[in-house]
Amino acid sequence: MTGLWVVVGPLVAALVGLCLGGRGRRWIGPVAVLGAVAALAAGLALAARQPWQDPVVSDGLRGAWVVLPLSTVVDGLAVTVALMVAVVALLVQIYSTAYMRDEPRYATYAAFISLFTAAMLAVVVAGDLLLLVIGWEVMGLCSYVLIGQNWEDPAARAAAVKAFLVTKTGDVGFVVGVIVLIASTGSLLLGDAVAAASNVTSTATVVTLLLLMGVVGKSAQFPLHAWLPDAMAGPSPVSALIHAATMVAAGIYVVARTFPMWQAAPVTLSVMVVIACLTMLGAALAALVQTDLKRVLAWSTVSQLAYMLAALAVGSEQAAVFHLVSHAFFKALLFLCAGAVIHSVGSTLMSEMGGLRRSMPVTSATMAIALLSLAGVPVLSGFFSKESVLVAAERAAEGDAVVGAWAGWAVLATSLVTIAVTAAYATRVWLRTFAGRYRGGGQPHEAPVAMRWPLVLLAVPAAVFGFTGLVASWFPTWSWPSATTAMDPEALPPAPLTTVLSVLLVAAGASVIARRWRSDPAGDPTPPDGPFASSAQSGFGWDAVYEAVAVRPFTAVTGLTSAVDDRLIGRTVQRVGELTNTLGAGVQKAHRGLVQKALTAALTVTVLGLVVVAVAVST
Amino acid sequence: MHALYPLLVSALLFGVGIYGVLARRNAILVLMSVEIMLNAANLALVTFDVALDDPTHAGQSLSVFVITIAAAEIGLGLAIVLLVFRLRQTIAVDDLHDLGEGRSDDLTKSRP
Amino acid sequence: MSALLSPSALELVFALFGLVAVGAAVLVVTTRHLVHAALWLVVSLGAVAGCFLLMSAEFVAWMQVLIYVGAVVVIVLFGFMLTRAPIGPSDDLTTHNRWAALLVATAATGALVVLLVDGFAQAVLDLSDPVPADAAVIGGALFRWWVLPFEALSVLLLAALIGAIAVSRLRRQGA
Repeated sequence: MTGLWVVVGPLVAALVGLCLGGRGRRWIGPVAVLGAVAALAAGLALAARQPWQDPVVSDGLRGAWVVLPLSTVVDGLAVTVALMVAVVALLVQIYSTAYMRDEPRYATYAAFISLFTAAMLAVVVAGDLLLLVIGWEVMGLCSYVLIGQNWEDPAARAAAVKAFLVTKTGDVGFVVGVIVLIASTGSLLLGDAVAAASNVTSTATVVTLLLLMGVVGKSAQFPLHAWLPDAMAGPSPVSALIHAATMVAAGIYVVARTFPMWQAAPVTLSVMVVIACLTMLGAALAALVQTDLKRVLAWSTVSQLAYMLAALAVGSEQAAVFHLVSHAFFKALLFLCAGAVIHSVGSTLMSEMGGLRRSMPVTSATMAIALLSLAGVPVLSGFFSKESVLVAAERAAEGDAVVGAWAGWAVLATSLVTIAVTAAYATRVWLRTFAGRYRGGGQPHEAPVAMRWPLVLLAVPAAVFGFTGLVASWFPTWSWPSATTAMDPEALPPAPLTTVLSVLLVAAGASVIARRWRSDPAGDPTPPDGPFASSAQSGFGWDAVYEAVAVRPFTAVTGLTSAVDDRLIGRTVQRVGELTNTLGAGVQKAHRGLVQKALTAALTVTVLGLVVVAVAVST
Repeated sequence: MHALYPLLVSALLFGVGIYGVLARRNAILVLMSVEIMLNAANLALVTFDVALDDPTHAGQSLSVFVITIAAAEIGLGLAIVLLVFRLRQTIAVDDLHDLGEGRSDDLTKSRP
Repeated sequence: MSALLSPSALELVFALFGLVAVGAAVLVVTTRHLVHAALWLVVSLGAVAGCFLLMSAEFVAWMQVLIYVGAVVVIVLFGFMLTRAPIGPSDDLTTHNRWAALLVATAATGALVVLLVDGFAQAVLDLSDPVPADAAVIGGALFRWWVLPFEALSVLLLAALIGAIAVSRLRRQGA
């Protein structure tokens, strides 16, 4: 059974949705939800039918006349992530039936969510490099359309374009990397190409560095991170699906999928360590001073993705994927809760919230679970997944990884500091939103049923998913071309030293914020005042760098091109016309209508012709 | 008799006729110059007819035709000249240039 | 060429007639009197008729006198009259084009002379035992070998006649 079955359901739903348009308003929701249900069902079927040990690599579809390169790989890794994507997508679709009910373009929205789901699942099950790239690019397109869903708002339009352009900058490197991989290994199949590339260090280094560009872009890491906070202009369910669980995690997944190649390129891994550490701490600090609820979550996503990248860099792809899945659940839950809050309060600014735990009990509770998981409070899934990253860093610090020991120490140090900051901003979010007294002017109410149930259902894995990491055999087998690997039993369970340290840091971060809040319940514990905080709020001024490096030169070039076209080419065309007119006027002067002048000319030519002929004949 | 005598006379007459056609101002004078040229042609035709002793007398027959056509031409030509005089009160050839493009220079300015 | 320098009597007379013809033609194209031009044309055409006679082309010579001198020049004189041609000298009978005209004419004449001398220096007209090409001879030739052009020419004359009448009719009643 080929892995493409997971893609078919949402793809059909997308096509039906796009064709229906605004006509079948009653059918939009059911069609979209059914598409996601089909994906989930196919994922479960794949999980049930395959033995965990043997991966299934299916060939491309072979028809009578054409061979489509659509081979898929279905192993434990693919099934896990596919199930996660299907669950989150299904809950987002159900949530959207209530959240987007009054939107005029709900039909295209639902269709594009389905298309996006199909594309992400295509990336997950791709066994063929072309299928991977196609899914990757379609995801970028859907992200652009969905962020710009409310295109009447100029902020949404700008955010969509920014997201598209910044991720495309990374995607250029990604596609070139895939091309180099295909060219140097001569194979389109993912498994074969990776196996061949991992044997040659230079190839592996070049390919991985190029692929890293795409990962950095799609996963919003430094320096291509600035698009994610702005992308919050899109609807919250979109943020939940795309910017928490799936698209931003696709890069991490691809690295995990091709991991043997990355293990053969220590240079790339070193670069990854640097990027991850910078992003981790910087994004957490930025999240601490945001005033917009969704922006906090966006910066938080950037920071958590850096965790995954760091885990990959220090050599534990299993920890990275573990954190990927766990993060997907609690971050999606966070965004959906944020959506419920914004839907109820009518504003995204935390200064206009507060005291909502009385009017929105379910949302308050589920968001609390998610925030505790994010902060890494023990027993919740976020705790286990972060611990696995710390374990990997510890092992690298002991010299057990491909990248040097310095990387392990760097990741360890940065992660621990970030844990404290994460706990701080998580506490701040909950306190500002749900505790104290309501500061806004509206009538806050609990979310409608269709929005409430996805929150409750997501809260379950956000809380307990981490336990699957404790028993190695519970986690599905992964596979690579050269070896089938069972889960490393030492990889995921937490180690004692790092556990103690992180718990202490969580408590420290949370208590600092709690104390500051208690002294002023209505105020902001970490307001964006002062030079450092205000700079952090705007992302440390990184947008100005984009402006100087990319936007201004490009605008200059377009200005130059336009000027050349106008003055040089346009003027030339005009001059040609004028020249024709002048020549015509010149010729016109010979056409005065004076008979004798014309005759003179005619006779002159005749006589000359006569002379020429006579001379020619006589010689 | 050497054929060159009549042939040279013919050539000279032809040249005089050309000058008259191109240099005279009165339209009727131009027509008269054309007659001179036709005469030159006739002289050449007859000369060659006699020189070659043509049994079909092609040269002399053709010159009879030329004379006929010249007559027809002068009749019609003068009718046109008279009409022009009736309309324009002038038959000076360099004042009759309505078929020309005119002397204005506004074509050198570009049109929108 | 040496034979040209010692012409026979016929050649001498012919040279005289030719001189008269060319001279009169030159006067036609240069005189300042309009009516004088017509009269000089008569002289020129008559001299050419004489040339024809000397070459024993009698029929053509009489045709020339009849039609050219008789009809054509008369029509020309009528034309002068109807277009109010001024009697006496007029200064504006030659245009500014005269120098170009002179150039072209000289070039044409030069080219023709060179051609003719080059090609026909040895050609001779045998007039020792002349059989004059009189009306009977030319008529016979015309109706034996040149009937079609003859008939076509009559159609041409008809067309010219009708055309002349049509062109010169006074326009009344919007005709």
